[in-house]
Order: sequence, then C-alpha cells, then structure tokens
Amino acid sequence: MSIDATSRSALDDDRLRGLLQQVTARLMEKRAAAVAEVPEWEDLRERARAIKRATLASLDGYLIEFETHVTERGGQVHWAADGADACRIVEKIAAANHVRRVVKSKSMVSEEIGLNAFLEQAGLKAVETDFGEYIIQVAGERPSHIIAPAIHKSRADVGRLFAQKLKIGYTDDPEALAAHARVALRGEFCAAQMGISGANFGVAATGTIVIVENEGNARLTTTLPPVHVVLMGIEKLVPSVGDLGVFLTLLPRNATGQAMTSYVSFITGPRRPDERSGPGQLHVVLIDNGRIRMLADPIMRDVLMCIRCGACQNTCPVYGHIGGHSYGGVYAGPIGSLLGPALEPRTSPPDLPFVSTLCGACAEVCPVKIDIPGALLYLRWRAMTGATEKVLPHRRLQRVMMRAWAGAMAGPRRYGVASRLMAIALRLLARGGVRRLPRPFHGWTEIRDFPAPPGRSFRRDLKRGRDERSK
Amino acid sequence: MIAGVRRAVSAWRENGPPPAAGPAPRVSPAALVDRFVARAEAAEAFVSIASGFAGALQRIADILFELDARQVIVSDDGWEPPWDVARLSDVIEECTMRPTSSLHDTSAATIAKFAYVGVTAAAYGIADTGTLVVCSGPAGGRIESLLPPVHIALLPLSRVVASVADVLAALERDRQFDRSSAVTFITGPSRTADIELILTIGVHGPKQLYVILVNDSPPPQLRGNDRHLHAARPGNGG
Amino acid sequence: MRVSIFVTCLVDQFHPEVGHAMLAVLDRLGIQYDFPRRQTCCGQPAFNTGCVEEAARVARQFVTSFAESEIIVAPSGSCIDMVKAHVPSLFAAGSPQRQQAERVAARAHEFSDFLVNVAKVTDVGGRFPHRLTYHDSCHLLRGLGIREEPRALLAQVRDAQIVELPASDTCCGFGGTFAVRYPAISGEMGREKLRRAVQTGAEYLVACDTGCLMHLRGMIAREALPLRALHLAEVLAAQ
Repeated sequence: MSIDATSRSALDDDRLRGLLQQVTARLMEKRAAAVAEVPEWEDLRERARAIKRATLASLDGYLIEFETHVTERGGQVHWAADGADACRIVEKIAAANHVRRVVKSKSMVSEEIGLNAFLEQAGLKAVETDFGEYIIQVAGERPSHIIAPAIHKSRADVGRLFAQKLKIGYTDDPEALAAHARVALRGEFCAAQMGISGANFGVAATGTIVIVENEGNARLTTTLPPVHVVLMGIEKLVPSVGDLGVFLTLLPRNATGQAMTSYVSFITGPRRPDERSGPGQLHVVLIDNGRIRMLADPIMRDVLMCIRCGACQNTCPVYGHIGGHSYGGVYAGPIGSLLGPALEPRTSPPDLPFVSTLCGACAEVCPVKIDIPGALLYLRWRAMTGATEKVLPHRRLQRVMMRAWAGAMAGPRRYGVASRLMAIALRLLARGGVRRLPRPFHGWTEIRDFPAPPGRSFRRDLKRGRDERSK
Repeated sequence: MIAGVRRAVSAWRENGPPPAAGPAPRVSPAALVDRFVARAEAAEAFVSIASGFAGALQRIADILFELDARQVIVSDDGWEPPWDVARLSDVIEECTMRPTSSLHDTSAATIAKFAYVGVTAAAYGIADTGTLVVCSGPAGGRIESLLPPVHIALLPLSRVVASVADVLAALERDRQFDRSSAVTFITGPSRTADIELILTIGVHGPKQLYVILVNDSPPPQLRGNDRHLHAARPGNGG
Repeated sequence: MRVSIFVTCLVDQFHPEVGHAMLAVLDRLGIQYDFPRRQTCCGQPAFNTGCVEEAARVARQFVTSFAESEIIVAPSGSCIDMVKAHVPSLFAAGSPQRQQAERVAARAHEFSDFLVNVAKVTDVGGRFPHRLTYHDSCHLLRGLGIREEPRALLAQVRDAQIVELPASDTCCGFGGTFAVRYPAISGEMGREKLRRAVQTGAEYLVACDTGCLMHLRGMIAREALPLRALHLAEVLAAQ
C-alpha cells in the first residue's frame, strides 16, 4: 500500500490524531523542561555525536573487544548476519535449554526481525512484559511509537481490550489496568525459562549491557529466568563506561523529559558463581541485518548513531498527523524514514523518504545531531537516480519532467518562453483562481486553490516600466 | 561479520570526542545531599536522613510499623562495617515477628508472592538525579530491590556524588562491573505512562521506595529540611 | 552599496507584487539595486526531489547570473537557504565553479536579513493599521537562523498590532512538491497552522516565503477562512 493511501486512513481517524498529538506535545513540553536544566546540553550533543562517530569508525575493533569481555565474564556472544539468522540462534538457545516459556522486555530489534512470530511457529510464545508492548500484544498490533508503543490506544480502548481478551471486569483506570498486568505477568516472570531483552548500549571495554527503563520489567526479565538472551544491533556499542555518562544524561531527558528513568541496569555476564540471584547463562546476539551496509555508506552511517530516543517522532508534524503505522515497519517518524528503507526494505513504503517537508524540526532535537533532512535528500536522490536500487516507473517519469523543467530554467530565454506558455495554460484553466489543475499537478488543487495568473511576470513588468533605478 | 564491518569502515577516519570539560565546580556535601533529597523526592521516593546506623534502624522500624509489614527480605550484600546486617535482622524480626531468614533461600516465586519489603544497602547516590546505585553480590542485591512492592535502601551520606559521570567513574575505580553481574541505578519507584501518558506508580518493580540517608560522620550543616532530622531521632515515632 | 535582486521563480511567475513591494521598500531607503536579467531559479525544486544533476544545471545558471553581484537579496528564505547550504556542493570540490558558487552564496541574503543585518535598519517607514501574526518558515528559521529580524521589522511598522502565533515554528505543510504529492497530509498541516492563526484574532498572516504563502492562501480561499496572507515585503511597503 502506498503511504499516501495508508496515511489518508490515518488522517481520517481524528481520534487517533488527537491522542497522538496530545501525547507528543506533552512529551515535547517535558523534554523542553528537562533540557533547560542542563546548561551544557549543546556540548553534550556534540560529544555524543563525536563518541558515536568514533565508535562506528572503528566498530570492528570495538566489537571484538566487547566479545572478549562478555566471554571473559562467562557470557556467550553470537553473530547474526540477518533477522532470520538471529531468530534461529534464539531458537537454538531455547532448544538447548528445554525452554518452554519465554518473557520479553522491550526490544525494537526483536520486532525488526519478527522474532515473536518466528518463536510462535516454533511452539514458543514470548510474552511481552513492557506494559505498552503487553497491551499491543494482547491486541495483536504493532507498536506505533518507540517510547510509548500503545500511544494510539485510549484508556477506554485498553479497558475494553483487557475486558474482552483477558476476561476481567471493565475498568478504564490506568492504575487498575497496570496492577492487573503486574499480577498477570509476575507468574510469567517466575515460570519462564528464558528472558529476552534488548539493550540501549553495549560497553566494549567491559562487555556490559545497559538497559534503560521505568517499569522494572526489564530487570525482572533479565534477573529471574535462568537464561538471558540479549538482542543487540551492532551499532549500539560505546567504547567505555565513562562514555555512558553523556548518553545517560541525553537519553532520558530527550525521550520522556525525565532526569533519569526509574531503572538503569548494567549487566556484565551471567550471575557470578557466588551470587544468589541472576541468570546462569547470558547470551548476546549481535545483529547486522543491514547495518553493515549502512556503515559502508558515508551518509547512512550517520543514521546508525541513533539512540532511539523518539524525540524526532514527537516533534515531527507529519508523524503527528499520520501516526506510526503509516511507516510500514517498526521504526516510525523521521528516523523511521531512514531506518525503514535500510533495515526493513521489504515492508518500508518506497516513497517514505519523500513524505517530509524537510522542515528540520527533527534535526534540532536529535541528541546525536543526525542530519535527518540531509539523509532524506540522499535517499530521494537514490530513488530518482537508481544509484543503489531500481528506479520505479513513476519516478522515471518524474525525472523526465524535472529534466524538462531544468532545461527551461537553464537560460533566460527558455525561461521566458516557458513562463509565457504556463501563463496561457493557467488562463485557459481558470478565471479568478484555479480550482483544478491537470495531472500531475492535481494534488495541489485537491485541497487548495491555485492563484489566478497575474497579468505579467515581475521581470516583464520591470522591462516595461520600471528599469534599474539609481537614486 | 567482523570482516564485513572492517571493510565497511576501511576508509573512514574520525577524530575522537574533544576532551571532557574540566571537573565540575566542587559542591559542598550539604548541597549535594539537599539536591539528592530534592531530586529523589521529585521522583516519588520517600527520603529521610538518619544519624548513624542506629538512627537508620529506628527509621526502618518506623516504616515497618507504618506499613504493618510482616514478610521482609534483606540483601546481605554491601553492608560495610560498622553497619551490621545482623543487627538489622534483629530489628526487623522484632517489628515483624518473623525471622528475616524465613524467605532467604526460597524460590523467586515464593519471594514474589510473599515478601512485602526488601531492604538493601546502596553503594552510591547521584545528587543530580536522586538516583541510588545498588550492586549485586554474593548475598543478594538483585531481587530484594525488585520483587517486593516496597524497597528500603540505606545510603551513607558520604557516598552521595554529584553527577552520573562521577558515579560511573567511581564504579569503574571500584571495578564494580567486574565484580557484579548487575549494577542497577534506581530512581524512585517503578512507573509507567503507557496509557495516554497518565503516570501510574508501581508496575513491575517496587511501588514504594524509601531512601534512608545515613549520616555516619559528624553531622554536616544541613540547610532547611529539619523534618528529616526530626523524623530520624530515636523514639520519635516517625 | 548596490543590491542585486533575485526575485525567485515563484514570485516572478505568481506573485510579482511581492517583488514590487520589495523594490518600493528599497526605494524608500534610497538603496540602489539592479536586476540581473539572466536569473531564473535556484534549483531547489529539482534538488529537493532528488534530481541533483538537474538542480546543478539550474544552479549553474544562478551562479553565473549573480557572479558580479556585491549583494544579492531575495524575498525567500528557502531559496537563500538552498543557495547557501546546497548550491556550492553541487559543483566539484576544489573546482573554480565551486569557489565561485561559494562566493555568490556568501553574498546572498534573505530580505529581512538584508534589511536588519546589512542595511542596518528596522524602521522602513511602513504603516499597516491591522492586526497581524507571523509564521516562521522552516528554511528561514532553521536553515538561516532568522527569527528575530522579521519580528523586529514588523515591530516598527506604524499602527500594526502584532500577535505572536502559537507554534509559529511548526511547518505549515508546503514542503515544495510535498504539497502536490501528499495533499492530504499537507492539508492537515496547513489547516492546523491556519486554525491557530485565526484563533489569534489576526486579520493577516505574514510570512517571508512565497511557497508557504501560496499553500496557505490557497487553503484560505478553498475553506473560506476569515484571514488573509501577506508577504513581509508587502506589509513593509504599505503606507
């Protein structure tokens, strides 16, 4: 489905848009307050960008260092070239440990690789424990926002959903609904043989996985089950523990406007022989799935710096109107328009990079200063010129028209002729305001008038009466 | 895969980040504590200051009475002398009329079902964010601060540092990431805002967090907040 | 000081009155100007749709047209942003064309930027006895960093009642070809901008970019809203 079609249905849903806009506005307000508390904010962004760039530029070395330290501490590192690979690795670990029940905490990459569906086919249901993810799992939907996956559901929606699917009495009180989830999931945490989590960061120098959360479900997922599996994109590494200081200041404030989230877990290896609780096995699955290709591309490697804060989504007016599902994949909003084509090319709508006015609001809030509009322009160039992919037929036509246009603009005489022809055409089309332009310009007049053609262009006016002036 | 990464970055030269700004201006310990208290309370933790371990024990007793707690688990980790976890267990047993060891070696499922309060020591506090740092070790430090709905943490005043950067540096110096499989930053009780951004306290982690700052040295000059000292005085009924 | 006018293709073709207003203001200030006749367009429509080669062709014409100019002034933030941020990179690194493009780019100014920061004036003798509110065009604001200049100029317009527009810096939904390809989304963004403008009680919505204005004016007409949209130059030229 073209994004035009999916977005129209989203635009028709006034309720969804209202909710989404309320929520994103609140998040941005809170973000502004949290950022204002940090006078060195711009310096931190610069540092964060520099750290990420330097890490990615030597990623091979850091990956080896990371693997060495995880292994030293008793963990195991697995390498997955693509999503299917990663799923199979998880399945093998589950089989080797006779795993029947799995709990999961939030992991965007697990959605990217379709892990839940894969495991279900293998007879293992992975229960989502993040409250928002749990809600959408019960609903059978995909997350629509990086930070708040069930943002598109009102409390009444959730009340009805739980009443229907979980057979509890209807309530729309968020506290009661959360309490229900707590009780329901406690049992799962205690009974599961395997916990699967994502990771916000991986520290190369110590082999530490860092998980940032508010609910405590990631702590439970990574503490109670005897086997812990971490799914991590290779771009998540930072060189040292000290580097985390910058990111742990930027991420919570940018994402939810908190000075710090309720919990940050630093997990280094499985539990030590003398520790009383914690998983006996730790597996880290490092995932490529298109990231190495991005790394090789001088423009797209910038996009790999993303720390998944969600601020670009919250500030994007396009996202605010069309919602997360229009993006065709796990990643939505401005960064979704870049990660989608790179990591989920099969489901990412091909015109996604064009669905932006390049307003730049996203780049202003990005904690690692990714030039999102610049990267979108790059993807548009790729789409139009076929540098790395086939050019779609309608793009070929657009390019032909652009070529003709450029030809007309390339010299003043041709420009003059073209503008006369256009003025005549417009005059034929309307008196006092054009209400319908012909294809392919009809999109303009779908929702707005086109100006009535002026009598003469500015330069013809100048030529006639008003010549160069000197006073 | 490493080879693939190596090829991808082969022509890429990048300068590292600029050297970090000089050390932050020194903040007085009293100001650090004030900031910690303010930020921790803003994150919905209940914070009090106790004089010495004895004062802390009194405060714990007060809390347990307030909560009418019966089942308490204690992490035996991270208690540095002269803090004596045996004395802590005694006090708890008095309050709850149950031995703290009753849940000690049971399964997580049992603890999840029965334990009401978990008591742990904290290694550090971060003033800028009101955060506690709890480290796992041989005798616990993971589930005690996670499974029971109430978590009580004792933090020596002298261990409150200013910033996240400071605490990470301290943890690195302590080689804590080698020693503990899990180091956890805790800021207030657990929460979610997944439904319409409505803040709900207490989801999967604890619903209530009590932080008892223990003033082990000669009391620093604290500005304002006398009520904290007031509450910690023994015999004051909290 | 002699200024070369870059009228921009949209103003030239569809809203020449904006160009004339700009000249009227310059006349009032006694600033000499000329109009390099070879100019056509900056190349932005091609560039923004990924047609870089085509954009380079048009940009070459732009650079040649303005090669001799001391100062270039245009009534458009997005065009000047294109010239400064992207036109030089359309030419090979180290080539003489790139150097020439960089020189031209350094001398290019958006109209309000020129008045306040080059001509050093904020009072241009305008009188506009109406209530108005101002919209920050995206490339003007985030590309060129021009936020205070239009406000400073409007503040000096006699008898004008200026109301700050809530969310003035949120995109209006024009986005060049975006407005044609994704009219549904563009329309919702425009509707929201106009709703806020109407709510301020302003009679006029003012902006520095003709693209934004054509989109907003088109919607005002289609939806019969009680608002009129004007270019900054027109307000400043009024007396």
